[in-house]
Amino acid sequence: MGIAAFLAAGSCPSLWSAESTVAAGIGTPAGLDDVVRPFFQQHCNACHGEKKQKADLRTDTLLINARSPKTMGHWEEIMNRINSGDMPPDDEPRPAPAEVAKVAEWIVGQLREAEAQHQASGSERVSFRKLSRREYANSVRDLLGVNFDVKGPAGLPEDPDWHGFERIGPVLTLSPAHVEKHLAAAEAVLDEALSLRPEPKRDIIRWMPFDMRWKGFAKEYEARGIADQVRIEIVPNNYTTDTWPLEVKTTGDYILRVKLSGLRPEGGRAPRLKVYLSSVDKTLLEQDVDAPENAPVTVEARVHLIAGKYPVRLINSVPGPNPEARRSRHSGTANAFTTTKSRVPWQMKLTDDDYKPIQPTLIIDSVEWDGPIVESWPTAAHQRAFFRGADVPAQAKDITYAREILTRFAEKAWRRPVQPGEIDRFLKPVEKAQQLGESFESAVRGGLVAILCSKSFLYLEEGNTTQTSPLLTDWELASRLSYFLWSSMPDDRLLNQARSGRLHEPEVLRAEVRRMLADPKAAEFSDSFPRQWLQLRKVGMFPPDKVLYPEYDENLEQSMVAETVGFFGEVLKKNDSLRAFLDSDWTMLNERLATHYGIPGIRGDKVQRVSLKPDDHRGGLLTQGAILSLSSDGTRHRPVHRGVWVLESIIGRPPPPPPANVPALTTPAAGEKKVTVREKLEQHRADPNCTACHNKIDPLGVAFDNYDAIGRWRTVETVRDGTGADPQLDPSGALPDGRAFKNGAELKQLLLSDADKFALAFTEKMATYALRRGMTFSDREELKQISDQAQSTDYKIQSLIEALVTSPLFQKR
Amino acid sequence: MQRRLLHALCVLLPCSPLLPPAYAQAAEAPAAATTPSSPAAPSSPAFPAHHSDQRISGELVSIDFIRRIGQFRATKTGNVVEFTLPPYGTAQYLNSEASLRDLPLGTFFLFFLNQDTQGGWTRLATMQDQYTMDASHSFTYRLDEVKLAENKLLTTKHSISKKQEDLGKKELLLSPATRYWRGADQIRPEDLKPGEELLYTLTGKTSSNPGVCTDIWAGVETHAQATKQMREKFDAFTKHRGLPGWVDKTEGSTVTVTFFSGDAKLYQTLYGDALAQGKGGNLCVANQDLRTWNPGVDKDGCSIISSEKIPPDGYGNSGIRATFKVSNMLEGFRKGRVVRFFGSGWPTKDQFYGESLMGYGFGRLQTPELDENPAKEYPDQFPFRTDFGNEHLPWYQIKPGIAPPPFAQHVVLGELTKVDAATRTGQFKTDRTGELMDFSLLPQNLGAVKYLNTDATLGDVPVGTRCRFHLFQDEQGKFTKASLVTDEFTRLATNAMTYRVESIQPTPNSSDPSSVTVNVSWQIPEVKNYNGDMERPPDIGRSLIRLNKDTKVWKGKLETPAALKDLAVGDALIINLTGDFANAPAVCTEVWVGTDLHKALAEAQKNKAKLAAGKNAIPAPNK
Repeated sequence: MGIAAFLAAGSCPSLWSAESTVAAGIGTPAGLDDVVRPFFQQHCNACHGEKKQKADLRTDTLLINARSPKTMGHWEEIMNRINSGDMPPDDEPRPAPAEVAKVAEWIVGQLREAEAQHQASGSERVSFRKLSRREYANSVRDLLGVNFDVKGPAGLPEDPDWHGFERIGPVLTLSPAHVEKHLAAAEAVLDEALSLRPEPKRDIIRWMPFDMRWKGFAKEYEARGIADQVRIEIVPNNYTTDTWPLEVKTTGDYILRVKLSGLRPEGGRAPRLKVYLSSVDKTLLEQDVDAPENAPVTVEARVHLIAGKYPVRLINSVPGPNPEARRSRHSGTANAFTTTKSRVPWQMKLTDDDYKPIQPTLIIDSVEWDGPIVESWPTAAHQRAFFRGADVPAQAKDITYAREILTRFAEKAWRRPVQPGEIDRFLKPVEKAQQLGESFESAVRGGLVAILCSKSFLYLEEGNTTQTSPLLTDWELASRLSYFLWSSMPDDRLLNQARSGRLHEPEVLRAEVRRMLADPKAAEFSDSFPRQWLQLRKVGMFPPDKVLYPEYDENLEQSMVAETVGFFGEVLKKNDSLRAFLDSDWTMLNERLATHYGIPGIRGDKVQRVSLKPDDHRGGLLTQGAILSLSSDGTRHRPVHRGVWVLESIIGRPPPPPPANVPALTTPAAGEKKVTVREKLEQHRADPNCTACHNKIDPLGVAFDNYDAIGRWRTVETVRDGTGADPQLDPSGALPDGRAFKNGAELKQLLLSDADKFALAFTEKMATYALRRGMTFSDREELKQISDQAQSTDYKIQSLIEALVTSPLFQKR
Repeated sequence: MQRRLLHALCVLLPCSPLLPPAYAQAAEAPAAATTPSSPAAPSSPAFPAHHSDQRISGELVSIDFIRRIGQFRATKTGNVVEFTLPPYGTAQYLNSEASLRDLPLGTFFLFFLNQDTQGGWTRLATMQDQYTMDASHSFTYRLDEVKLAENKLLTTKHSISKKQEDLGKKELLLSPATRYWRGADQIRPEDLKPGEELLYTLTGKTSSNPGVCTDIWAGVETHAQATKQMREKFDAFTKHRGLPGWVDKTEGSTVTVTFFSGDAKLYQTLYGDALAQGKGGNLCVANQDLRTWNPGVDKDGCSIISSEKIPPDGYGNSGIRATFKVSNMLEGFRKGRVVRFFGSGWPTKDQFYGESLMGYGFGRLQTPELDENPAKEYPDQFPFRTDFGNEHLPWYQIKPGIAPPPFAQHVVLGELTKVDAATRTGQFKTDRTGELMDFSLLPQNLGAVKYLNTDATLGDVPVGTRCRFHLFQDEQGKFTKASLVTDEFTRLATNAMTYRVESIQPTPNSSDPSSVTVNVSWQIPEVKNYNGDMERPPDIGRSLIRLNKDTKVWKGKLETPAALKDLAVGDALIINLTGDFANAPAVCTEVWVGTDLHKALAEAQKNKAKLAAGKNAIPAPNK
């Protein structure tokens, strides 16, 4: 929920000032008396004071009440008005921009605090924090062994985020539409998990070239005796037609295998296979293929397919010339593709005069769909649910057995012991179904569906209805820890630790953290946390203009994200210091991104650790393509956005939002010389209303002006408007405290010298992720302690995680 | 030799072009079909050096405009010689490069032949008529005396420009068919004036006969005009199809092309500007027969980034090499392949229906022989030798019960000499060589006979009919197993082709007084043009066929035969004929005249086939 929504949710007709004096959370936080009140006295109280209350507003008695949306709404309004220069009115003396900035910043801090307090739930008897859809998918996987596709058409809606975090309790809501989706999801998951249908037969659907393209030529090629040599070539930026569908009879996991060659031109990119279900917008497999024409390879992926018919496209997603579809298609002449040496003259040329590849081309031999993969029958989930086995006599399939089944299942699903009586309401539909003649298993399945739709499964529940507790129980702690590091439910060992009542003990917790980080499931944290912390979902949100940045493609975008996620994963795996995030002499690159960065010698599309030289102008997060492009728009780099991003994600001090109606940066008139974005910004900053904030924001962004909108290094800025040569870039600047830097590299050194501050900001981000709420003023001290604790290890990341998990903060509700 | 003889008949009645020397390998043990070995990257194409050829004179008797193949009867031996024009091959007529369509059959030419891969002298670098041979050396014949009563003109060969006054006396023989030209007008022989400069073309020349003039052009202005007209015609012909050349190399997005021409000096004048650096146009892919696929669509915009004059060494070399920057590098822009260039402002259009390889906009061609031939264009797609390529591979081996794939057969032409319908065996006399070959039809429906375009038995085909035998090797490697035996009628009907009579005249130098030679154009059916109107595409070839008193002529009705004299210019013919041998040229056995008659015959054949099916049906047992 954004600020506005938060405010709207609590609007109240009572007089705000009176309310502010009685509500909980009132106070005079630091800065109110010495920063804000004098400002109000000088510029506001004359119209909004004791004598006059224009617009029904008094600023002289206004207090902070974080629990009152209406009060905080007034504060937000005041901030916007003074920030934009609306207030004081034109006929009153103008406050100095620095003063305005100071007050605005103070108000922003209060608003954020209010928001965070709203997310904190210690005062509620029971708090509910909904699982994100990713966590839902992981949970049903661990509970029932089903890989449910939450992103598919039959999946769950996308989760909203709060400053990048997609797991903040009050932000994740459950609408009636969600309920329907969850019901459908639970049904689908249990259908697949339980063995209540005929045993699925594993089969291989095999598509050969004559199935996919050369249908009319099959007999002739069989007669020629070279039917087995026929293949399908796919030129860059093209795909096979999707006129033949894949018919999936049984929902489940399948192994998708594609046998193919991938011709890579010398010094060029490898072709890229993408297997795509166009009707449901789902990519099943995407990777570079680098295999000579005479040495095909088989690539495979385990995919989850829902019963139905799907047109399948085999795409060569590497960009390249495909100016006219006909040039890569075929005539009616019986010349199916067998080698690159026998192609139709009017098609695009794939090889040079010596038959060496000049276009990254895929050559497909076969496609197989092998499945559904069923490890056992009945399934393991079925055997666990109907734990007495298949030979239970009919008379033993009674309500007692049903209760036991549901109770066992609920304990696991709810991640806690089931209280007496809790199962009763789930048993009722079971009994009813049996009365209506359904089989025992089918009736019980209905109960299991209900458990999967229950609040205790869909939400992380903390607290209980009988008493308010400031601390988590061990069961709650197990879930918090598990969803922190695994984004999934606790395993048996963690639950057993909770059951023993010792989980909260620091040593036990520390051991569990180490065990969990070593578990493959920790890949979830390694992937999910950096995406949310660094707001990576913004990468590609404004796709770069294809004319200005023709080299930008989906693969590059994926590679950029892979670098940043992989970088975090490497720091975590190696238990490296947080300092690496600020600067490093290595990064994680695949071939595509390395080519983009101009770093030679990297092959393959998996990111790998690569040593950096100073000339590479890379190192740490701030010079990574993902970060540099997420803070740009589709046409140019945005120093202000970059500065805001640094303040928010690295320094942990988000600036006030921009005032309304800020004019766009001007472009030079025809005939004037070209200017950099920085120079335009400086003109913009000449407006006193903008100066104060921009003085803090802009230098942090301008420092990285040497990187364009898609993260390429440059020394001059390409400018379209104006005359003369493209201008040289000037990335120099100074921090608000006066420390100057010449460029991004020097700024990184300054940030490194403030590593303690970064560590604190990072700790806050990680705590937000782990606790699923924003951090409040009251958390500050504990965050500091956690950060300080990790200082002794030079902020090794795993030490920080252990410090967080073993801190009192982590166990607080 | 075998190959050359076979080829001649293919040309005479267009069937398959170049047939490789099957019999040369017939005794070899058949090898298993294997994956085609990958040919090495092509070397840069090269024009045959001047004087690398063997020159044979003769009369043009057949020409296939589309596949650029033809045949002539050699002056010295009287034998028919076949030739193929490589992409750079040109024809010279009236001292101008000319399209094959403009070459009159029966005309005497000097043929410049290079060797093919099998050693035969079949690759025609160029050909020159008498007019060209003289005019290109600035020779003319000054008319000394007109002796019409003796059907001769007395002349003195000389060169005005070279100031060679007397290069010898020359008698020009005349016939009633000889035409005389002054300026653009046809004149009477009486109009010829002594002292006039003459040039001429010949026909009927043999080792014992000097030949007669077909045409005589009087006056140097007339000569200049005749040449100019032919050059203009050829210029229009060339621009319509694009300037052909072959690719020397490609690099990045550039294509370097050396253009073809039989007259480098003229070429520079005509096209030097269009091919100058900085100019642009469209580059289109073409095959070795200079046929394009669909230039309107597959053309590629290009600009000339360099253009150079090179020594016009070798036959067909225009002396211009240009490097194009293309917008799209197409597969056909490959070293050794042929392209056509359309200069800026030239309409980039498809070739005529039948000539274009794609027939875009017209649907499928009704003439399968003109379809894109995969065995010729894409030999890598065949793991065995075909009549069109893969000479390094063994022939396809018949497998019991399995129908052979298209293009696996080796096609041989010959006259049926003996049949045994019961055992499905027979014997034929191979065209040109006269070698007798036994054959047997493949069992059951794998071996078929078609006569008069209807399923038939061997017994239905009259002995003495020239047939096409689709043959496969037997266990000894000999081509004795036939999958299909067809007559000429069937080939023509299958390809929806007829022969249109252009002229009829007594066969020159023939011992048979009843023999007539008919000049026929090969025509294909009308098709809808882009406006939706039915239109006859241009003819696809031309040949001379012989008829004599034994030829059965059917005109008007099927029941009563007509006579040779009933044949008329403009008639559409379908024919059957005898085999063609060195001392016994092929003669039509039967001629069916007129499209209505062809339809009636097709209907009659259909009924006959139905009747035969009924006759062969097993009657239901009587109860």
